[in-house]
Amino acid sequence: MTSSATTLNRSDFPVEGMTCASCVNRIERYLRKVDGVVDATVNLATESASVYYDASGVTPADLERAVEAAGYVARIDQAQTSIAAGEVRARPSTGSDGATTSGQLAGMEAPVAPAVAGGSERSYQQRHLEDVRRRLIVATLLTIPILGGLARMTIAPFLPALLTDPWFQLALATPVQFYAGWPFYLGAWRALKHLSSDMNTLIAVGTSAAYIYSASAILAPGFFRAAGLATDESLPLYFDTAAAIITLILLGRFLEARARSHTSDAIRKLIGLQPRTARVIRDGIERDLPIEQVLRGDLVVVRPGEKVAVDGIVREGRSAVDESMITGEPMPVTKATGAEVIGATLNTTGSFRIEATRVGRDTVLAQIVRLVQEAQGSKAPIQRLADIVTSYFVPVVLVIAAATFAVWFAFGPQPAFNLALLNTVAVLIIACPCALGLATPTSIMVGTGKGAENGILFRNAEALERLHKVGAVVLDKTGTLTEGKPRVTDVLTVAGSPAEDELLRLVAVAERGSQHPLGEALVRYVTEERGLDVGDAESFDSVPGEGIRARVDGREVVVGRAGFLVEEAVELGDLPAQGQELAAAGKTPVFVAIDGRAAAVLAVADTLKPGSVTAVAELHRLGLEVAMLTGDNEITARAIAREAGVDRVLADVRPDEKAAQVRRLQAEGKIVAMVGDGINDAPALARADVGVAIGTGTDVAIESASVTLMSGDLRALVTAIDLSRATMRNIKQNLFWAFAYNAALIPVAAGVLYPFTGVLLDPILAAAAMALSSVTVVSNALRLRRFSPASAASLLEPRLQSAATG
Amino acid sequence: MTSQTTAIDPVCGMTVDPAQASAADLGVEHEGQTYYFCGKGCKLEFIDDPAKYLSPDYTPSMEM
Repeated sequence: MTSSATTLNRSDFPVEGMTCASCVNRIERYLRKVDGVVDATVNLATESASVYYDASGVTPADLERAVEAAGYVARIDQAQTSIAAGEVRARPSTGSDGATTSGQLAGMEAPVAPAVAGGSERSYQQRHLEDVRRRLIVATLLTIPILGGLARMTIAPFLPALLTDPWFQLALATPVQFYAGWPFYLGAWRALKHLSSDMNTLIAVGTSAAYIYSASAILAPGFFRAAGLATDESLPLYFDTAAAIITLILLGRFLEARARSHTSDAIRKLIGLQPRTARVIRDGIERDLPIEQVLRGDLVVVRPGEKVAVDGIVREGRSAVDESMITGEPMPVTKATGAEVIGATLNTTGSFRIEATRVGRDTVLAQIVRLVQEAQGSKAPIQRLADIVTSYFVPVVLVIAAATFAVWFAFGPQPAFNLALLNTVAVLIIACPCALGLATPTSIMVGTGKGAENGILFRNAEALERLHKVGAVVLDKTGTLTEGKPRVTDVLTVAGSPAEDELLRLVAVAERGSQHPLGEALVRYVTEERGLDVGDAESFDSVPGEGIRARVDGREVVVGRAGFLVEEAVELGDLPAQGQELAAAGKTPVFVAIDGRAAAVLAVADTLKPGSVTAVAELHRLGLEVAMLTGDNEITARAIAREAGVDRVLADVRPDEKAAQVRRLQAEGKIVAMVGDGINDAPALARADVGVAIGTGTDVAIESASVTLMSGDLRALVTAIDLSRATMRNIKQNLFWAFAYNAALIPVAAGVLYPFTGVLLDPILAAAAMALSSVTVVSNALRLRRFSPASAASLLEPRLQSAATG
Repeated sequence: MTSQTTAIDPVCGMTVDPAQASAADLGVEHEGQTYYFCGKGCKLEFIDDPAKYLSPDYTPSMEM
């Protein structure tokens, strides 16, 4: 590993053409191959690349060429370049193209917020928002006078005559149609290239019909008169219709873009959690550094009231740290030497020093941001359904529009052509499913963001959706329902056995070689609580799942299940009965024999986590069946299950059988969520309909899990399910509103009510209705932001109780 | 006007619509079979080394 102080440049530029995460990897690979490029990160959601490179050897043009070689387009003309000062530690890459190097840098990617490495960065979202806003402003300013013309003709004859001058209207309407309205043409064209149509098609066709007719009426009036289509001297113009439609639809799009940037608030908040500087001790000198310059291995000082700068391990000192912004856990966690701390968490009153373990984009915070961003950009199954509906919807609408025109033109009252045109345009506009495209994504964005705020990470939108239909929850016992730290609770010796301390010492020496958690608990107990010295056994032999045999100080020691001792020809007497009593109390009995004679039964217990009982009760309240999965024996398992309130017990399950147990439940027709620790339970989590990993805070990207509960508290699962249900409710509401407007008004626009009531839908009103439906959908989605965990109150209760009694 | 059948991108595993993919020039013929891709990247990856992505040991994923 070489370390050199180089001045680096950092360049951020848009990259076009990416479709999936493998595109990201490809481009990153090609960029990193460029000599002098130290690191490259590409973001699919923001369609941009960030490259750190040695300015003396690499030019932006080199980067552009690399991206092109990968098969994409780099908008290098829009690159933002800045100096990324600081030391770089180069480490060799592990890829098969061994010639590349990439640097270990501090400083986090901040695609939406200003870049941490200096210079501001505008994301794709920002640019899109500004683009829409510009077009909207232009459209609005030009449309108002056009509508003034309409007003003059109808309600306000005192307005200047210029407003109704056809050439004036043409002059104003043209930029609206072709500049402001350009995105619709572009979208329709793109759809057409795939031989399909979408809402852009509807708007483009509708407004163009109105515009082209009006323009022709001015430029070639003779044509219409000759065709007998006009009866007046001056033909009515519909510039106001086309312009107003474009303006109103743009308004809808603007609100949508703005809502999108608001829903990224969650991400921006997360990014904002990172402090700007850190107090680092290097070469004995303590000084403040910008956070990008902190390196792995640095000693960082954390003072009272400060935010922890980067992920690390406590080396000195002790304090309580508030981790709620990351894990959702409201009570501060004690951190002493050897404890892991997470960057961006808040130190309370003590002070300590940490050794930095993860910096920059490797920190837990950066991983969370990436995860949430990807989840926000993902598609939920229900959205794919909406997409399919839309793809059939638009062609049907085009047919209806054509039919409307035909019917009105052929059978309608005079002026037939005009009425036909108006009604056709109304149909095209009112049928526009703009809001439909908004309905799901907006809610998903808010939902995943809300989850992250509460320490619940959804891997993708599908996880968020699937969770709401879950009917059964399987909980792995150790580490999920229980603390995962077994303790020795009882020592029951048999008369005639060696003295207790001696007995325990023998057991501990025997178990020293064991990797089993029970064995480790025994050793811990003897060394820590009894304070005895534990040496090495002379021989050791273990039978997995049954027990161990060892020779200690010339004596034969056997430790294990009752059945194991019997097989070793040990007379157990009434020890098994005592063991049963212990088991009925939820403890695991461990039998001990010395020199062939039964000596004692020890009890090892793993306590339930504080929130487990509440969590199970809440899961019942939600209507779910709760099952517990464990390798423990039946009696112990049932006792614990009873205490926790679990419905079903699956005991004596070997680790490799867990996935099969999940499948059994699924075969009963239930949608199963499995909660485990993500590492040992990976196959079972993958097998379940929704895999939930209950994390410890630092393991964010647990691959096999759809959902990660960062607080390690089972009650977070309840919140996750609540959130999932609330989000789906929200989505269904949105889909209804998005569709209802259209469906109800299409017949009206087509003129179905005309023969009875003379009511027609003016195209302008149709456009207003569309904008209104977009607004409704977006506002409703933002309502989801008010979601808060229902069990927030119960999260505090138990601790208050223990504070009162403890 | 999207078609009912779907195809799987052999590189990243995404589901793609063959009609849309071929319209966007994202279809590749290899040894008599046509494969469809989600985007240029996956298509180019495949062209670079078809055997790798067609081998039964390869699991489509987005990590490379």
